[in-house]
Amino acid sequence: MKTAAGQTSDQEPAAPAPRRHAAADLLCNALALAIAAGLATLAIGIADGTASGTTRLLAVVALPALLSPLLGEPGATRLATLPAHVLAWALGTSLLAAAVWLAAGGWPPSHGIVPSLFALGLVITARLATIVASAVLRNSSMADAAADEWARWLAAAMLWLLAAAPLWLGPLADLQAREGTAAAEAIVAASPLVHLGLAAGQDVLRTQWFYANSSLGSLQFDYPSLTSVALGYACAAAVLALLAVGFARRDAAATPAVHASSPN
Amino acid sequence: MKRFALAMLATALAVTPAAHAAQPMDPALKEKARRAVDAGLHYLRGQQAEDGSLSKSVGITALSLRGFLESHRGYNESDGPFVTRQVDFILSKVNPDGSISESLQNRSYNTAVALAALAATKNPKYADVIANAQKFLAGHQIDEGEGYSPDHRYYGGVGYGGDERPDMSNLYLALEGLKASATDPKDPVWQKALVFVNRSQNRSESNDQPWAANDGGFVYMPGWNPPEFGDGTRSYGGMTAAGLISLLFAGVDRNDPRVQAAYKWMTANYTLEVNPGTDAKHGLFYFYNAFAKVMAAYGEDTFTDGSGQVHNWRNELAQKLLSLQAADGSWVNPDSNKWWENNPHLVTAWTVIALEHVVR
Repeated sequence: MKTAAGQTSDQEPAAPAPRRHAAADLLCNALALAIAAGLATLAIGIADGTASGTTRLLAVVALPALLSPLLGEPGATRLATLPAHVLAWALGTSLLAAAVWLAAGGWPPSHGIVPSLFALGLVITARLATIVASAVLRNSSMADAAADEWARWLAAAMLWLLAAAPLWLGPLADLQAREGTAAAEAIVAASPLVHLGLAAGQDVLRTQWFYANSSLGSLQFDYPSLTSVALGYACAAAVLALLAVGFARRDAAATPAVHASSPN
Repeated sequence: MKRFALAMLATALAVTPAAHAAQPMDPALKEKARRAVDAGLHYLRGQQAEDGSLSKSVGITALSLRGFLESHRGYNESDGPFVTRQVDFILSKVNPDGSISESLQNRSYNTAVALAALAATKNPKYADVIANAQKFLAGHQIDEGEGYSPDHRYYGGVGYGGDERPDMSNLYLALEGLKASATDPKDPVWQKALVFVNRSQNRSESNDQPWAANDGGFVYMPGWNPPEFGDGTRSYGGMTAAGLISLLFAGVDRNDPRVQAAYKWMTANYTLEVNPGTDAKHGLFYFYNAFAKVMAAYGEDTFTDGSGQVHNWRNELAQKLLSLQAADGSWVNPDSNKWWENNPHLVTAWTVIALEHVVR
């Protein structure tokens, strides 16, 4: 293992940050996430009362899930931290749900079960991707703390890019529309936001905000089935979990060798 | 005496308002239009999948079915599988909630057009399916049940089905389905719909929204148009035809100022080259379809446009649509993919229905 300064270290897994730094990081994270959630809820009309119950539900489920790679203590991107990460996401979702419910009204509680399960799948898959990305970066000689931070942001950026694919790839779908619906359907199927919308029973791309901002809403396409989306997450999570376990074992096996070769 | 009679005839012709002159359609053109309908139906028949569907869509299949049932040929279910397979496909997509749709997303749109098509079969066997579809559409209308009060701009509207965002286009199709299936004129669905229709018209006397102008035309939904039409609240042809026919479906008299204002906008801004009120060809065939239906319902053969020119809409629309038909009998919008107008199944079904209203 290497420290941020590039020196070899025998500490496992990474040197813990001073407690006050960790608390400040958490506070900054929470603040940034709250601002992001606030801006997003404004954008989709929750604040002005035009958002339907389904839209409010989707916002509550999707926002914390899409921001989840940034949740938690920096420098803790390891497989063992997965349960704590899921717990932090569940807490964030509950807080946002309570806030939206109080501010703009709710939705039938039973409607939240399926989208919450899909969001859980998304959060776990994204976290596993973060763990694997961190391991890959550490193995390419990046310092532990930097690798963790890069991995978190890479996973978050990937998630956001995919979620927003109907926005930035919409013109491509329009260009390809004469050839059939394959391009539009591929773009739609790639978006985690669309997946959560399907689970919430919502036609995301024809909601007011997306209809105004994505060219896909007026094009012909079919959404993927919920079953195929669930299978996709299950397969991705399984592959990433295998990779994460493999990297963890390699790290564990490499540690004694590092100890043996480390100068005292 | 003969000279006097000619003078009287000339005077009578001169004082008769051109817009009210009875000018039936050119018979030769009418025959060509009928042949174009036949070719369109032949195309649609050849495109049917094994299960009778077109593009695997309830909506497009239902529009095609309606094209057959309402044609001058008078097709019905006894004519064979090319009709019954379409009916069977539609019935195979009836859901427990009364909707008729292959997907959750378009269920309002699909149910509305399926309702109109099933009503056109005039087969009493489908009475229960029709009644349930009517209930679904009425239940899907945005009202107190969805938590919206009458002062909300969404109130009374109907959307695609999975988003709760209503718009004038989906509302018009829902009203068409309800009207075709003889929904009780006293049903509250009509009055609620009128709240939304009024709020989509650029007429401040009957529209309580602050953005409302006074040209009489319609926008996509209260306070907003799609980006294809520059956002904003400018009136345009497709929605004005949809809004005007929605007023008529809801039982508003044709002498009502809202109807008169919409008709005036549509005739003053008349063109078949672009979607009127815009410089774009997006939604052009949707406009042709809605325009033919509303003009047939309004009952004038001719009208005077904004520049004082008199038009026989049946002749001109027929000529335009004939000029756009492909050799295989289909139609497609070559200039826009929006609202599925790159799909020849949909556009052919729409155009066949439009021509059927032209030659009726």
